[in-house]
Amino acid sequence: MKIVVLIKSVPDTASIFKVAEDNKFVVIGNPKFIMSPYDEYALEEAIKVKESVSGEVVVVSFGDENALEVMRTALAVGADSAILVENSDADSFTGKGVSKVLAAVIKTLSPNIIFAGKQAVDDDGCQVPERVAEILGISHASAVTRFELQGLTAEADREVEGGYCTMEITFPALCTVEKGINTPRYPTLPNIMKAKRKEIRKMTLEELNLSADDVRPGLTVNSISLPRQERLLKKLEGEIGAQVKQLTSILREEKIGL
Amino acid sequence: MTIGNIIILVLLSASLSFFSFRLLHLLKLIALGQGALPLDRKAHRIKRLLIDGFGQRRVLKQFSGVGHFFIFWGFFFVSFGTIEGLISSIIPRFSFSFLGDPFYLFMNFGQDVFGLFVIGALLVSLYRRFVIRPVRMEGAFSHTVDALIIITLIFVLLIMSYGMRVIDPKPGWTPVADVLREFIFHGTVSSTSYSVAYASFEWIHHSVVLCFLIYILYSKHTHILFALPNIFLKPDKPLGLIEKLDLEDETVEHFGIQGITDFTKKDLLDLFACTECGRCQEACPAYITGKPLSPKKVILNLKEHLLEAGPALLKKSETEFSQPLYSDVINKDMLWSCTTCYACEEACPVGIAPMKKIIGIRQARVLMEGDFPEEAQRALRNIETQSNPWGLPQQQRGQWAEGLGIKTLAENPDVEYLFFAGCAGSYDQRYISVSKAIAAILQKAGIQFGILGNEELCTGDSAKRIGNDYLAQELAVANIAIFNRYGVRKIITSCPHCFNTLKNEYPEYGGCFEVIHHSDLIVDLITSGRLQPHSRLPVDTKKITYHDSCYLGRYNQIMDAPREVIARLKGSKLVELKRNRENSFCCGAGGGRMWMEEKIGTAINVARSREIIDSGVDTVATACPFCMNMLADGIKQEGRVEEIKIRDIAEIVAEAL
Amino acid sequence: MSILALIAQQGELKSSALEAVSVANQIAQKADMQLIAVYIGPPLADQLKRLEGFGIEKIVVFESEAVTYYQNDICVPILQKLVTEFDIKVIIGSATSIGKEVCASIAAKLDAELIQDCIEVDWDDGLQAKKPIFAGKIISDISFTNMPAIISVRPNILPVIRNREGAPEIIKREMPHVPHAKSIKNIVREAKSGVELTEAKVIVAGGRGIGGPENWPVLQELCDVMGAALGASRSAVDAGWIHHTHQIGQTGKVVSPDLYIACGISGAIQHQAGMRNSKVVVAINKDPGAEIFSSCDYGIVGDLFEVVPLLTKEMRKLLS
Repeated sequence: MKIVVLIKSVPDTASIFKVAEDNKFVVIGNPKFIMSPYDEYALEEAIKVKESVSGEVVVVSFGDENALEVMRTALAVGADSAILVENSDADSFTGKGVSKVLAAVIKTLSPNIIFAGKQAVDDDGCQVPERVAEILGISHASAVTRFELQGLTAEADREVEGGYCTMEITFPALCTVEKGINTPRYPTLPNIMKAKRKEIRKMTLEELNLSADDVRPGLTVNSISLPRQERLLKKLEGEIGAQVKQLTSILREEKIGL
Repeated sequence: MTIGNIIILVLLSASLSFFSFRLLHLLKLIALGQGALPLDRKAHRIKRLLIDGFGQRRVLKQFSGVGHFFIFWGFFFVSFGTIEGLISSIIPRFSFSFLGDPFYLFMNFGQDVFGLFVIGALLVSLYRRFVIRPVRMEGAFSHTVDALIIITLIFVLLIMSYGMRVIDPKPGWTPVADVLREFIFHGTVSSTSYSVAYASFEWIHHSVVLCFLIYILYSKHTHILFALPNIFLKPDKPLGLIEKLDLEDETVEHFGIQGITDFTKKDLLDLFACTECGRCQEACPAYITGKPLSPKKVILNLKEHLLEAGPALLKKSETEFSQPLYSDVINKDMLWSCTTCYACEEACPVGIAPMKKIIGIRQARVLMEGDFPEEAQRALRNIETQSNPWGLPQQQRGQWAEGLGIKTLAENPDVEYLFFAGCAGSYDQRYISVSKAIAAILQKAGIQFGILGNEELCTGDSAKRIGNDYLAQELAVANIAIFNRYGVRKIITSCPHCFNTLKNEYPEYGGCFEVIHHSDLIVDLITSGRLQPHSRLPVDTKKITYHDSCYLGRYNQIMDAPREVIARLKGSKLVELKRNRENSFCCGAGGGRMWMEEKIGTAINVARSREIIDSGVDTVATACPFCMNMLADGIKQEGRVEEIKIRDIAEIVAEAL
Repeated sequence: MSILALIAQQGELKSSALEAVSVANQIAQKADMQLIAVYIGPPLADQLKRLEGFGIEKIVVFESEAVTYYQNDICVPILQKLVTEFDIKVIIGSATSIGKEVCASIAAKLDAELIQDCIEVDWDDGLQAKKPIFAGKIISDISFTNMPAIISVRPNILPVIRNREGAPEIIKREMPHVPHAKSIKNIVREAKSGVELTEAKVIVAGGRGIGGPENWPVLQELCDVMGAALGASRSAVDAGWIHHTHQIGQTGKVVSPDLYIACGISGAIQHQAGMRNSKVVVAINKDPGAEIFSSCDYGIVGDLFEVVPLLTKEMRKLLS
């Protein structure tokens, strides 16, 4: 069984975000890069499948050199090999371009299963894995909450409004996973050490025969803004009844949780 | 030589062979352990042996220890007579009188008098064991039988030796035998007319001694032989030091304790030095609150395992093959219930270290298997990414000090002290007020200090004690590099966990700094007159107590300073809790327990909070963020938030400035 | 040139579908395009009427009892054909879990750009949208430079607006047969008791201030009104008042709802560690010195037994 896991290196969302002067870029002082949390679940699921039937797990990522550390983590957790399509300008790619890059790599690997997180917590794009599956022409299922291998097929649950549905998946297939599908393991020291010595294969867009036209974004960012960073610390005043009314009108106007 | 002499000689030889054979076996088992036995600082070790061993200091902490004191010394004197008696049964008329009169006569006196004390102590111990039945002594039925056998043997042995001395007086003053003789025979006894009786006593006495020799090494009474060496060999390092693992060593196949032979020789010696007295168990917060962990059980399980697996291990000693201890010998709940409060090792009269064994096994679980409680994993992941257990932004670490006129070392490295705020002191709103109080005190006293702000990292205490030595080492190295960059020499900490790690563990990485806990610093400032608090506690404080932090008190012997701080404020009445100072009871947060759920039994913080509530105080002073957090929760749990306040000593002082 | 609105395939028209149609209507008006809608799923029958007033010109309906849930292998080819047939330039769907999957698939097939989870959509010589990134810490305002453009709209954010006359023309079509469609084994519609904490958009949580397990209904009622999940602080769990699965905090669950209402929770750091990612925090506590007030957005100092029932009443009025 050959399993590919799509992973992405993202800044820890606990970082402090600022907006650059041109209002178009996010600035993060001294960022810590982590594997996007949903990808951790995807990787864990892949390793679990591998452990149950034997096979190999290849992690594939598109990013700049910051992604290397996260790929090492993936190797320490249990991936067998890693491929990074390195591009210093990776951040400017949209889901459309990224999916083409990843699909081009995966085509050369012909995996049976592809796992990915349901979204990356930086751009929250929610589209790259599904696009990859469509480009590769394989079936896919999103936000899977249970995955069980049954011989040559698999059974998976996914949430639908008001419940969940169970489906049968024939391979090759791609699944994006939801939080809580498993508990990602903590890497062991020997594996961390081994991962340090493993080679991470690097590829470029040229090697994948992708032209600038193929990956040119069809979007431009006009501006970005910080809704707010700090808590408002607003103590409501007046009678209790008035305070409650004040609160509900704020919630209504700001469309909070309604 | 008579037939009798020869029979004794033969029996004695047989018995001694048995004894030696068994002793050799046990020594071989101990030798399965790693490393050499520590023998550095001999003078210090001898002093400890005299005080803790011969002086029975830790045994005497409990009243029942008085009995043991007499048995210990009685045994010492009686053995002298026993050896003399055995030799004289082989070589007629042999005596130790050649050792010189005053000594020989004193030993005879000692035998006679201590014999009586021992009988008394034995009767009391029988009464305790079978009538009072202290919980700490509970154990397998075989252990009780074991105790009964030993007590009976010693008892018979003493009665017989009195019988012999009554019939055949020894030189010197032997008041007990003399009184008995007077009472039974109204004066002198013709030893010839009682030769049959004497011979019977002698035979019974010798039989008992020989049985005792054979039996002792198969029983828990191996401590008679191993306790004193164990006290002597106890590691002579700071108590708060968990030695770093050599993670760079490529020849090491695994880290931490997986099998019994991964322990050090001293660790294995511990197992045979244990008398199962249960003092550790009685002091263990986990055990007391209903967790499946008992330090005594840890030692006994390991001992049982070693004895069982021993023969196979000895055959394959070359391959170092040993069965994993987890989870048959030490199971999950035992392993993760430990708060590393150190009470067990403090209580042990013979220098056994159950806590460090637990940490060793944790290291193997974490480093080799990645298997440890999920909530603890979350804390460690947070430390990995943001260098604090809550995962709060590293870039906000220094935010607490904004607007207080405190400079970071980056802004001004030319200061005497670094104030290391710690994770709680930087992020926990409650403890930030303690950080601010300390800063205010330092400013008031005109101390030149700075902070690291966003550059400060977690010290690694929790990571270390959860068992992730790898992470702990990374943090230590990184922090030391930062300290060195600014030429830091003196560090003030408010957190006893940071304090312990910086003081006792960082030297292993070449980071030697003068580390000062804020309680010590405040006392110094008051004593030197640089700080002059008003002579009053806040008006709403009438009765105040101080809760000792394990890492400050037991670990680092800082028990007086916080009390002195309170005592310096007039109008304060310091009430001691039932368990205080080195016998203090843990809040439940140490050893990474702060980051784990406590699902079994009573919560430790609630147990301690009840003790505080029972003491009738209106304020608890603490000097540790973990204690403060846990006790606040416990007191809330008991519904006493309104009545009992929790204040750090720094806050109390700052308020009095 | 037309706009295609995707009607959520749930066998029942959800408000999320109507919200998407409302957005599509606005854009159609501004961009002066005709609005087409598509529905694929079990028969809607009378519910089709609810799609009046949005200026939809045609609704293409593919009804089949067999297709109870969106299957990309069945739907994507249908959508692809419609795009050519009606010269579709913009596709608007709703950002439900299934909606996002459809949008991503069709975007790939059309080699079009897609912005998921939009909270604001506009037309100014081209399609524009605002979407939260970095877990909502940043809002990005983006323009499409190419057509077709695809967006999905975050549910429960934008209003349902009916401002056009006339009923749409309904074009019923045969569901195409797809030979190797992924098989859906079964659909479990379980009325889960309460919303999953980690996924909840709104959480109402109680602490020691609840006073006892008998008082949870006070919070539960507010949960029911707001569709919120019920959470608890560790001390409430430790007291045995509620099961551990409700615990929020360092050693419990870590949640990130849009709205967190803390009732009778003091808010010590161990609790904050579990809920600090909440977008808006409302604190209700009778102790004005409670730590929660130093890290909330809106604080009400008062007895929760007085405040919460009032809030429930107001919210019920607001939401009905």
